[in-house]
Amino acid sequence: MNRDSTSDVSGISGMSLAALLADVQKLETNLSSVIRGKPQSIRLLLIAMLAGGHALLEDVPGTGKTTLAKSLARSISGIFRRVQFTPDLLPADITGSSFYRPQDGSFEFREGPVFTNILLADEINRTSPRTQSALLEVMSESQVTVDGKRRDLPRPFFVIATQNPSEYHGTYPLPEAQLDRFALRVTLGYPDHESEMQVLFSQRERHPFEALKTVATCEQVIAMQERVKQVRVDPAVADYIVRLTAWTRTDPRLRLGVSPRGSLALYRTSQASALLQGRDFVTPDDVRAIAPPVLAHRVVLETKAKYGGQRSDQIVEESLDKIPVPR
Amino acid sequence: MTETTTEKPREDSIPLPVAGATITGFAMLYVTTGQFRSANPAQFLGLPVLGTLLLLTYATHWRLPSSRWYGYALRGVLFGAIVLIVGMPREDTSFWYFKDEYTILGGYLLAAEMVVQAWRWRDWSQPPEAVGVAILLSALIVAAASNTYRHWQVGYFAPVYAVLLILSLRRIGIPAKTPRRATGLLVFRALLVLTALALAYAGVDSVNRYDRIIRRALKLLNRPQMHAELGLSDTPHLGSVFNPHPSLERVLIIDGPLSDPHLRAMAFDRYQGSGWRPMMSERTFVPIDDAGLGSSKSGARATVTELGDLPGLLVAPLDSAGIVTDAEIDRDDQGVLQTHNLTQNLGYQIIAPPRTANQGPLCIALGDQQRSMMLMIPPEIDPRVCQFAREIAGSGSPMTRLSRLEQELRDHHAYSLVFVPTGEPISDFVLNRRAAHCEYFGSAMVIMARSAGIPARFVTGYYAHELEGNQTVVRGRDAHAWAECWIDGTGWVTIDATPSSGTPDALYPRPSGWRLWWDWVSDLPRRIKQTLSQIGRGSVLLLAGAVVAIALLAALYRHLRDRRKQTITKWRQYAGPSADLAAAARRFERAVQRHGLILLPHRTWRESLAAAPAPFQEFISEYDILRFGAADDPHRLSELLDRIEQEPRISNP
Repeated sequence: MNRDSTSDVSGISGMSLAALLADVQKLETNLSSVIRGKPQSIRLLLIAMLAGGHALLEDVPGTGKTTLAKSLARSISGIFRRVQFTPDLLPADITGSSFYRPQDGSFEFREGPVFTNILLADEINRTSPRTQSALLEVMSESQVTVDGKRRDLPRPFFVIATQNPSEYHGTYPLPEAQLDRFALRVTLGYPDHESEMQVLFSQRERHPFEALKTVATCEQVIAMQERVKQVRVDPAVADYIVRLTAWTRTDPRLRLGVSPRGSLALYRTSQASALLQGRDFVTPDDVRAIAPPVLAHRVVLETKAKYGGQRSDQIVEESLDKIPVPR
Repeated sequence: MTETTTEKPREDSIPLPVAGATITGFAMLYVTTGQFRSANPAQFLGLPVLGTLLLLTYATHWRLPSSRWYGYALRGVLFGAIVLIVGMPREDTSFWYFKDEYTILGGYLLAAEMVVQAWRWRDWSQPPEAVGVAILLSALIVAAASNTYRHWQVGYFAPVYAVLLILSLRRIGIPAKTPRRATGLLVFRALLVLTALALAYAGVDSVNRYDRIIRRALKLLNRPQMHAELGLSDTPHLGSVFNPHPSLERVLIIDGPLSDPHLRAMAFDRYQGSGWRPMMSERTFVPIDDAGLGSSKSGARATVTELGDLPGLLVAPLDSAGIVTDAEIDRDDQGVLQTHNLTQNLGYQIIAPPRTANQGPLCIALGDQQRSMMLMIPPEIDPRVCQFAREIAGSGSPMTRLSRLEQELRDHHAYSLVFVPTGEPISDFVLNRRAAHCEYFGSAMVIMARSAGIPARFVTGYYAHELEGNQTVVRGRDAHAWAECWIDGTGWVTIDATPSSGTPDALYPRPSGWRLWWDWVSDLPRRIKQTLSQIGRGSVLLLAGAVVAIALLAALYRHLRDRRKQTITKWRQYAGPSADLAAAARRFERAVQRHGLILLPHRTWRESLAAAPAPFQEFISEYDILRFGAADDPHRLSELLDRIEQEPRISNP
């Protein structure tokens, strides 16, 4: 396949496409050594990070959600913090709060765990919606407002949340506003037979996670994110993105369609997806491939459709079969 | 046709549970409409033949040709034959819905339609339409078979049918992937509603029948229960107590005005051994026609429903102007009305008398022989009683004498529920003890009237007093006894000498709220039946029309709502590529078509041509770069197109 033309265009930004692809390759290899047989999920997680969004890992317990998140954090040199969401967690436990200092009678702000580069919000649906909401501002604006004072978070800022499917015991389903702030929802699923056997052998002596090395710096990640923004999106492709999201707003089976924030997320993740395939422009194929994980968690089904056996990802996939593709 | 196995699993026979439910429906129809007793061989064999035809579909894979006209012609022949066999129902029936003729004809037509459906060529593995129609038909057959009050068999079939129905409904699983069409949904729901109705009907019906079975069993176990419930006997005996266990069971429900609270059931003229005769078996009943019953008389009508097991006796005030009923009525010389063909609870109407006359079908003019019978003083009566009566009565018109006697008993005798007589009861009561219950007052009144020269007889029945709105409820405890006297020139009159403290309205307070509530609940099935039986043909059509209209409106509303939501489906064109690129794209599409490949409008080229050879893939990559990457070098495209056009043709990928 002829790639000459693409490498010409990549010279515009500070980072070359080849260098970026090499970095991403390193990250993927690193993660694959821990999470076996799930290249698609790893790719989606990286797309979320490069698109400057946040990722929601959702699956049944024991499929490697937390391990994947931890492995990514370890592969990048920034600060990594982890919050285990429990039912008694309070918003201030996440954002931080002011403490009284008796020596000089002033108040000192102690930063919460959100002041980090990568935040692992583990089991996010185990805490109450009240605490879940503390992440709203953090995730969409990368800032925290405590005691009336605005504090910026370090860059890059990437939230990886894990959760069990909301049908499970002792969980609080995430509110729609919260769900909308995740660029992607990634489901891991069970590994295939061979991969699961590899998992058994790879942990014979110690966890492969222990052997992970840092392969990228924060500056590199920021550069990648900047590079993603320069990927070209043709007006026809943007039109296609908007038609897809608009369709979900008119479907009678959906109570809530995809928001403009969702269109934006589809735009950014399509850019990242195209870049990871070594292209500097987005084709409708990129949009179609990334649309189900980006859109499915943002729609809310009508009760009738829900109990009629419909699933949101099916409806999103149906929209892909209904809307003509630009050529 | 030879037996060939097709590659996809296709069922050409009705699913087994549906066929089972249908056969159950056939059996119900056969039993409940009495076809198995039919002497007409066509009717006797009709349903078994249809059932066999239905089951034969499992033996062969041959099916009717799928021409629509063929189906219509077949139905025409089949339905015509059934109408010839069964015959059209006569039009003179008033309660058309519950007539057997309609049930049989409707059931047969539905059964024939079911057989036609079973022999049609269709795939029964594709729910829900085909299976839905079959279940609907089976439900309608069962509903037709349940359309009877005379057969308890429905109660035995209903559980079997319900189980098969539930198994059948499992076949109508909702396919999760395809969005169902609004009409399919509507059919499905209508079907559910209908089956629910059929189930409910079967339930009500079987409960009704089991109720009757249990009551019969109770009666067998505890025979005196009936007398306690009724408070009446066909051989009244002057004992120590009257109606010892006043029963709250309702005997009659009367809707409408009553001319007299005294509702007579039986009359007796012979006193013998402390009791009144004749017994029921000694009476001579003669059939009486509608004219004799005064059915066409004008006047306010009261509808009576008998709930207790009165042995076919019609209870009415003495002065009723007429009785209206469907049943065949016999009458004896005392004006006691009875019917013999009791198939269900008896219902009839009493016509209230006009103001000018008070002699109706219950008042039979006194003949000479009867006159001497009703003037006879039994020998066991103490002569002092007669002497006493004559003294009290004195002289004057018969009415004056009667009222003097009545007044004497009312004033100087007290009411007592318990009376243990010594010697001859009536004499003891009149002369010595002077306190007893209503049977004594009635008997004494008869004997005293006879002593004063007025023909009289002893009457038992009910004293109606529990009036609520327009409805009067008569319970077993309201049993009462009194006298009827014949006055020349006037006719029969009711004389009740029982003091007012002794009539049932004074003895028994209104029943408790619980009792009234229980009555209301146990009345529900009967009331539903009554309402149903009074629905005319027009209102049923109106109702069906209204249901259809509402369903259509709902479908229209749903359609409009969905269309409003889906207006966006009219897509405008995307911003197109440059003229060079558009020309290349058109050329590519033509080339693809020539190779027999298909480009889907809702897929990208890459997805549509995933299996196509390399030059196609290369063109798509190159085109994408130019189209979406905004590169500006179209010359390579034409090279690739030349190569594609020279590719050998590919057959179906």
